[in-house]
Amino acid sequence: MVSLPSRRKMKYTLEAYGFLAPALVILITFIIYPVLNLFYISFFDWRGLGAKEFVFLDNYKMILQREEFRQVLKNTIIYILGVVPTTMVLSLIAAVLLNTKIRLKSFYRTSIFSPTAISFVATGIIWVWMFNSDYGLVNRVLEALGFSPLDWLKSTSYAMLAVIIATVWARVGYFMVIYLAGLQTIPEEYYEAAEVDGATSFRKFLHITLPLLKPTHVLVLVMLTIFSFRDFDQIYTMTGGGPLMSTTTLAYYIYVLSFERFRFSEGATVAVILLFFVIAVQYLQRKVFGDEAIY
Amino acid sequence: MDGTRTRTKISIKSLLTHAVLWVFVGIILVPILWTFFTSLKTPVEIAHGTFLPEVWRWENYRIAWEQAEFPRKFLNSFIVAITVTLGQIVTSAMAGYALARMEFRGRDLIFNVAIASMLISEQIIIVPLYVMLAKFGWIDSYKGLAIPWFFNGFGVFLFRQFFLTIPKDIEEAAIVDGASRFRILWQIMLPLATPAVLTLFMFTFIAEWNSLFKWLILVKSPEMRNVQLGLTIFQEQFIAQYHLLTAATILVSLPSVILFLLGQRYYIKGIATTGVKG
Repeated sequence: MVSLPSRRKMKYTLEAYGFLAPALVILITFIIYPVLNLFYISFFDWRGLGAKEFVFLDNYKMILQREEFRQVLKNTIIYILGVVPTTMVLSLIAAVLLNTKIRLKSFYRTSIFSPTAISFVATGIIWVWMFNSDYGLVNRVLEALGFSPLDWLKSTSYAMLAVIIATVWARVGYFMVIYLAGLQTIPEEYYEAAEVDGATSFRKFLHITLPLLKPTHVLVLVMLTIFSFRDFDQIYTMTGGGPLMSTTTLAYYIYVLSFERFRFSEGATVAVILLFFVIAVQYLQRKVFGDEAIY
Repeated sequence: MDGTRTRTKISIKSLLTHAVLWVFVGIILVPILWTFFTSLKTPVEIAHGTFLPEVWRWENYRIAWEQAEFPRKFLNSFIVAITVTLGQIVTSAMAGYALARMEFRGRDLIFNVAIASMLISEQIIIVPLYVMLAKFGWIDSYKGLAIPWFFNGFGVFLFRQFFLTIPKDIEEAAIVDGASRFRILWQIMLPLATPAVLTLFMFTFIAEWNSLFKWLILVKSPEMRNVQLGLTIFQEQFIAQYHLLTAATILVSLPSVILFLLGQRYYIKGIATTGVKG
């Protein structure tokens, strides 16, 4: 016989799972099951149609040995190293300046934040237009400063830089808001005490603001890295992954393999590799910086 | 003497602050303004390279709207964005309530899995998801574009955090009166959680309005395209017609920008909550 309290507990549990059911059904069907299926597909040779042939780890061997994959991996690292530190520094500067008592504050904040509301497709088109080799504003400015104009998006050396600039432009405002929220958590007394000691603004920034923002730095770092791993739309709109695959990142490569070349098993294999990278980088960042910051 | 010196120092400092902020604002706004002015020019003016149009040609917008065949695409974007948004609010509110207010085995595990699911990007699962939706016959349908997106880890987290801040005695009175948990959630808790509802609404609607990737993969027929996919196709077709391309870009951006301006407070708060220890 089940005792009364435990029967009540059971009823309670069932009720709770009733509330969780809609979320869990979607989560399991459309996220967790696909993740598991991803591994399965990566062990077969399959092009989406026709028979699957079990090849176990051959897809991984083949892809890891490919020159093209090394290029994509390098692109991904360059992209992340280009976007993450730049966005962090610029959004921190903007937030610190906006955290002072200053006129026009909400105008500044809304302006810097505004690209967050537009799509990365729109961002991409705006910057394709900015980097246009004949009429683009960027080249006009370069010429006015005495430099020679560049064919930004058609050059294997500058296309990635152009994509990075567009991404940073679109994202600074978002992380500025997170930094502003972080700045609110620093008690005013610390600054007052430092002022009594005659500290300069720069010293206050260096010795109070910067270290006390550590949880925010970690959060921004983790979020920015996750975002950068999944960026697709601006690359699709600005360069289509080119020229000569110079802007193809891992996320973009999955699309190329699966839906341009119709090699589903190769796309799934790269997706597993990307998943591995995302988890590894997350784990590393938390290990190094501590995970006290997250939620 | 001393007082004057401090005042001068302060005003130099604030002058510098303003100067740096204007650099930020300039770098952000100039590309947007330039795109906007381009959308009002003639092709000849574009070739000439003046910053401002001489005559503001608003009809570029009408032409772009027609050429890009936008009406159906706006409708598709709207239908999917609103369905996904409502779907996420329902699943997140229910799950968030259970996680905040009920005690049961597996609670922490479910919460952690929900949070961890935010690491899974669309590109990672797109191959198996595509295969599955093809089997369901959901390719090229609103169902396929909406239902798989009904779960959002951030939404669950947001509602859980919000419900935790609501005092328990508010529900206890209702429990004594014999109200069911379900009624308590919809009639008492959810109205109190209006800020969370609005935050998730803004976030999801704007994200869905701006989404490209899933439409690129899951849509085959031209009638099922959304505004963003339509814009990329317009970009290919009208590659040299910058006045029309920029007008189309601005048209597509308007709904999310207007929603953002209306609910900026919630949008910013939603971002800020993710960043603050809960």
